[in-house]
Amino acid sequence: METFALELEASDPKPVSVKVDSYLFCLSQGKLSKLMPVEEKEVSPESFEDITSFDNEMGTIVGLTYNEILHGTGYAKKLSFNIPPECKKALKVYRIIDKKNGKIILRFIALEVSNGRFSLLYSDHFSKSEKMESIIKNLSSKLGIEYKQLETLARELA
Amino acid sequence: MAQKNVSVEEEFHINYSRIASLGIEEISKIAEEARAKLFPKPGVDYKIYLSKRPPLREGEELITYTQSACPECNSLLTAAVFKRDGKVWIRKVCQEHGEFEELYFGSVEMYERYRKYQVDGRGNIIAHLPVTAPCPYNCGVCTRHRSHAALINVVLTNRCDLSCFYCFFYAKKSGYVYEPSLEHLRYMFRQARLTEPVKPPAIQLTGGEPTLREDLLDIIRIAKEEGFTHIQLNTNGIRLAFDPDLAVKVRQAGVNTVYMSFDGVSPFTNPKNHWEVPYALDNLRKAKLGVVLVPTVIKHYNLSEVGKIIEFGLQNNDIVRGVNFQPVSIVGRMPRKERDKERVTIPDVIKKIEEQTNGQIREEDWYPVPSVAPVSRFVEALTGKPQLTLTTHFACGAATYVFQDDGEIIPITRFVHVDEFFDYLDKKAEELEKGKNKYIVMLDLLVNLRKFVDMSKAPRRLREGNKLVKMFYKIFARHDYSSLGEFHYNALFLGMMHFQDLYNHDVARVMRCDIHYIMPDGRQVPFCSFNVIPDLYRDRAQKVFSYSFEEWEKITGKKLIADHYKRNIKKLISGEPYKRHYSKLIDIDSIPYEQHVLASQRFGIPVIEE
Repeated sequence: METFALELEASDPKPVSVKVDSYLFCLSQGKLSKLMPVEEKEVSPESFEDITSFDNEMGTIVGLTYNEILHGTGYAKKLSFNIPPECKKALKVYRIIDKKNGKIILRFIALEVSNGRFSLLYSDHFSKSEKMESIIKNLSSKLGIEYKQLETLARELA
Repeated sequence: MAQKNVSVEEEFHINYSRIASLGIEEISKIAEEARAKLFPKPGVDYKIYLSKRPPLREGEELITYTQSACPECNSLLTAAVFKRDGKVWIRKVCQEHGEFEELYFGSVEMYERYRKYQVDGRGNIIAHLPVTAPCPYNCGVCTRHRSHAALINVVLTNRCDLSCFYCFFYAKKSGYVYEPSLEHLRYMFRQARLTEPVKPPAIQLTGGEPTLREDLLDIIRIAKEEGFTHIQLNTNGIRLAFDPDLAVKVRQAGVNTVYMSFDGVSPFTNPKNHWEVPYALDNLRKAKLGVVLVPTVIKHYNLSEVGKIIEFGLQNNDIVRGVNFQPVSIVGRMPRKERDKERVTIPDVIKKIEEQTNGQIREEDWYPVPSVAPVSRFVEALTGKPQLTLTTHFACGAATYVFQDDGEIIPITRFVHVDEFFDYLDKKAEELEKGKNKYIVMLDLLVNLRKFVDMSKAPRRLREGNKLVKMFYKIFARHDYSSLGEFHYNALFLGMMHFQDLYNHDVARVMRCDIHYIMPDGRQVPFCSFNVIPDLYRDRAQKVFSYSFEEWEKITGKKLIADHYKRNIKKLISGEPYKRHYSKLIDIDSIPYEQHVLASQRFGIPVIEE
């Protein structure tokens, strides 16, 4: 499984000063545990897969695509993870820091893991302005875990 | 007779006559099957060559890098946008086809001013397609798209009564007839309105020539049934000129505005419909149906007439609501030297307008499209409902309003402090978003509104009784748009929309496009993918859902050639409407009849004399 991270300073077509970190959590027996990446590498400009999966994830939930990376200075990284067999569901958390004002936004993607394949349970969109409480409620129901566990996680990351 | 369950697998080129009478559910199934097959294929339709950054040369200063398609093979390239000699240029290098350089924006100063207004929109939460390819090969529309559609375009037919020499789109040249059935169109309208959080309110019925469809009134009715509240009809005006009932009928059916091609005031700059426009305008007058004139601006062709086009609009301001200039989009492959003769960009047109109106409409009177976003933000914060927001790329379009007052042209910017007003609305929106009481904010608006208007410089009719301030208050505080009619009366909207081509193509602009086409397979595709990469979008999709000429002629019992318009210039130029519309702008008597004929024939429209 992959997540992405980036840091970007740009002024065209609009000012952007942002850092995005990503975290992957495995859900097993009702508990979320953080996974560590087995590999980190730059998103390759020549790779169809890299650019497409970067755009799919970052373009959809952060609102920044590989086109923005070209527009500024910074980096775009792909983080690869091994998913343990006991992991039935996974939660990706993107922590977006707007460096202009220090504001932090969390965005989520929840996936179901079955026989090494992933299916989408929940995804944020960059335009969503839903309150964190309602997002966590929704995630808690999709993942089948306690609200409090997710609330604590969100508080720690924010 | 229609055959049910026609499978795309069995017959990829769908024999349209077999599905034309199917219901919406079956059409939808076929469209979805076709969509998967029509999708651009990596390695076949395009390649990715992003690692090579184009070189910058002496005297050039980088603005940014972006992505762009190769004009020869559609592959995705890294492009440099840079300054040189006070202008903005774009350069890209394809590993297979070499370097391409093109003018991007004719003024660095205007580029930098416009950029300050850029805001990104909300895009679409409900995507028609998952993201499985880089932009612009995934259009449909996808979740990374930044703007929601403000306007949906739908091609009703590729038949046309004209045969303009430069057009490769119409039925005769493309080799098939594309003409979706009513139920198919209903499916397309529903696909267009799927998007959230904002559904497109406006639709433009286009072609080919949409008035050639005999069921046009049914189509207008269906568009209304499917939720479109503003319907535009894009036409060359020929039928409107000769059928006085047509304007009345389309207005009664629900058309709000006619978009009519109008490239200049003389037969030489506007051989497409110079002779017919006066008659079309008179019929629109009778029907009380407003029209926006749409000049395509080409440097060597009609850039010299942009001021006169505005003058023509103002002279007919009782029915002409706006002029929407479109700097040329270069279709097909063209050598650099040829392109340089044609290429104009938004700043070039704006500068010529300033020159040709003797400084009455100045460069600073124009604002880029996303500059109005604070208005939407404010209304959204006030109402709590997502609002239509224009968030195109700043280089895509610009606009202003002008008024006539005792023969003088007064742009809105002379009496409304636009920047200060938008800043104020942004601040008030922020206060509302943070939870400030909306009645306190409204009171503040009421007190402060007059600060943004210099009534002494406003046109007389807006000065009387503080009409303008009252009007603004009604719009912003009460969302009562009825007064907008009064604002528009005697005002002329001036717009500028520069659609791209493969030479100046910028993915950052495509990604923010808010004028989308709905395709027969249900995808919603940004204008500058649909028309700029037609072999991957427009032509590919329309060809699949088409009739052969023989099929179409058999089904309709008509001959395609019967649509073909032949112009009777003698009759047209001798009519009173012709003289009334043009005599103040051109010396109509000084143009010999033979010159009229030549202009029409060179353009591809035959002339008859009865």
